[in-house]
Amino acid sequence: MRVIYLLLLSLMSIVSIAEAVPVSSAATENEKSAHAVVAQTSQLSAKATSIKQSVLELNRDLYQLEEELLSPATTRAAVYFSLSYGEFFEPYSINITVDDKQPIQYLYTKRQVSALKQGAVQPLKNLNLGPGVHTIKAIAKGVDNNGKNRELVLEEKVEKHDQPLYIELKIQDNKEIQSAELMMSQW
Amino acid sequence: MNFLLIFLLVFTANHVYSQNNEQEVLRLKKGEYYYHYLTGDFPSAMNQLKQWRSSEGAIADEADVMEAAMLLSLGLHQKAQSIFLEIQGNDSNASSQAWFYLARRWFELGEYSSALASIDNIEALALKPEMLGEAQFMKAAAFIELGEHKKAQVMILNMSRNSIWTGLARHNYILAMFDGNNSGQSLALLIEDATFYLPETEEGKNLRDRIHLISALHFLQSGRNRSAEKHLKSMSLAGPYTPAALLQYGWAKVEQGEYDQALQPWRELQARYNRFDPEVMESMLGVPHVLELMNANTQALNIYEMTEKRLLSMKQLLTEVNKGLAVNTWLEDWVLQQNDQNWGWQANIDSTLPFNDTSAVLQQLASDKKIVNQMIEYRDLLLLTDYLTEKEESLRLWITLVDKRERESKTRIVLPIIKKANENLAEAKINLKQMEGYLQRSNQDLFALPNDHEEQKINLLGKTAGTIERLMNINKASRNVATYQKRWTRVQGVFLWQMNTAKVQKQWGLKQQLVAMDRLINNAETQLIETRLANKWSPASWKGMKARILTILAKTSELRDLSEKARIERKAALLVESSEFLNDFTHRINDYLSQSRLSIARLYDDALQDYVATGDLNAEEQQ
Repeated sequence: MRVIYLLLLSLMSIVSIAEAVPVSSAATENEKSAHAVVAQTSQLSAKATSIKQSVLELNRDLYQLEEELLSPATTRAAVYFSLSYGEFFEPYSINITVDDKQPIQYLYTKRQVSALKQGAVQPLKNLNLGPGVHTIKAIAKGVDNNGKNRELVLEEKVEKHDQPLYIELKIQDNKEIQSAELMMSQW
Repeated sequence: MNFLLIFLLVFTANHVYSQNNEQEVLRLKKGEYYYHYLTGDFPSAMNQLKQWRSSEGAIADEADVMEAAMLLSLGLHQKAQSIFLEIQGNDSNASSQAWFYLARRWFELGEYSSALASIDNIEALALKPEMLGEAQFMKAAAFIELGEHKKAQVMILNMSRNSIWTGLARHNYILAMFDGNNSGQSLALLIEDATFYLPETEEGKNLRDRIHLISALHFLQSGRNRSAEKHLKSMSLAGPYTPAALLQYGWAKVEQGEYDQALQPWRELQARYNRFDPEVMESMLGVPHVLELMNANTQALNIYEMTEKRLLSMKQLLTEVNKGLAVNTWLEDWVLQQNDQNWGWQANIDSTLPFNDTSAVLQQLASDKKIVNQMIEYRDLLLLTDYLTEKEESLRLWITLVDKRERESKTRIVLPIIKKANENLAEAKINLKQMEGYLQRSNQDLFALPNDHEEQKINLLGKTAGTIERLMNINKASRNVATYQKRWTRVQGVFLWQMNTAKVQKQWGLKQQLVAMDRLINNAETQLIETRLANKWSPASWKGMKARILTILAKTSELRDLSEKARIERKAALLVESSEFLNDFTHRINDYLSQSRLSIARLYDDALQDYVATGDLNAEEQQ
């Protein structure tokens, strides 16, 4: 009986040690492969970084090309929207039509309104306009400084020549009348 | 001389006008850049950046700072560093917000001196309170990292008392005090402040737990078990630090000789958490160890044997997962579960793996920041490859469209149509002129502008006049034609009167029609000029475009191949690392198995020794 116990004990110890032995003998192997992995990882990261930079540069070229393909300089008309101070009016949507066609509609988030109030100019849309005079109608909906719903309306004409046309719709505060008005400029 | 003066004036006016236009367009573009930047659309902002590099003034500085931050986020440190040095050399006008983002990136990269230099450019009033708190935390933490503890302490004292950022700064300061072997009342007060003044949010609660845990670990290491226990007891039972707290609480109890009280937290730990958690695995061997200390050897033996079985099943699962790792989709599943589709630093990444058997084993791997960064890089490369494939497809479609535009432009027969329209317009103009002449003459003509009925009447009057004349010539004696003559004269007079009365209105009607016709002709003329212009402009939509598209398409394809290759390599490297992690895990389980088996053997041996010592062996066994 004692022999069996002893045999059992020895067997169990051998099994345990046998499972533990490869761990200690493989330690140096692991260290080497860990170094190799670190080197490979940094190489791969450098490669990924270089690809990201190239994609970024390509993205700029693609952006420019797509702009030109979508609206060549001769017919390009870019519509921008801006807000000066925004004390008397805070927009929540804008609706623009050119020659009663091509409706542009936009709903604003708090973050976008905040960006506009800080002096940012929103690129609303790039249009294709033929030569000649076009009618632009715009309705900006929002709330005034008393929290009441208000609409600012504008109807104006723009003339398109062979150079890109820049149209800026701007909500301007008018301190004298304590109100805001929608204005349009073109270049 | 006068001519020269006029020429100069016209030239100057034109020059000023075009310069103003350029300024206004530049202002719009600057505003557009800010819009993308402030609304968080950084790739679009980057597209705009290139345009500001050469321009003078504040926007260029701002662009420099922002470009440096964006380059840092992409890991392009050297280029960012050179821009940063350049900005520091000049008096920059960049906004506090831009400096803040740059400081944040430096801080994340562990470049504390550069982070401090960037923070020094921030004006406190220009930032929102939340951003200001973060900037102050970064400053305090950077001081701590650079060993300037006094400055860090002053910074923390100046921060808002209840902010999460102040809590984080205090946490870092406490860690620094532990590292410096500081102890005493000031440390105790600092820990009390750090755990008391925190917002009652999820983040605040977790930070409180963390501060308690690090304090407990520190006190356990220095043998102050009761202090450690006090902190462990203060921790929540449903936070990310609960497993570590339960394990350490058990050990604190063991250290104090309260063995029976050590078992409960470990049982709780094993029941509630994943068996592959390091804390759970440690507690699996801790329970029978404590039972041994309590001299409950039979129970200890039973638990060791149960633990051995559990460890064996865990090892088997690990081996199976490791074998099938190459075909397992855990990485793709993880990418798919991300809601944010951006790549780079602006992406909001959730590092938790999807819930399944593989993730139960690999979740520990995903808690390693280095591995998470590699996973993010893999995801970035996957998104970039998809993006480039999509762009390739779109460029090919553009080629088809440009071809179509060219074909249509060349086959469109525009000139004959314009010529014909021009002829029609010229004819219309002549007709208009004639009508205008007729209107002009109508003042002198008594019977001008007759309608059909009036025309008939005029004809009738003419005929009647002829008849009367004939009658007068044929038979003067027998017939008195004078009556007819008088009657004719009267009818003619009435008719003339009626026509004259209606003439003004007719003239007015005709004039209106002629004006409308003139307007229509003018419109048609404008339209014709615009059509001619549009025809002249139309080649701009295709001329030279195909060559440009082909060049960019070649670049895109090349980059897509590179990206795809890098993605495959990154995945292979990740799989190797995962496999190594699983091997290490298996080795750890082997260690635990060895420990449990040795303990089993030892307990059996002790039992045998007792059996022999008490003399219960028969004669045969003794031999």
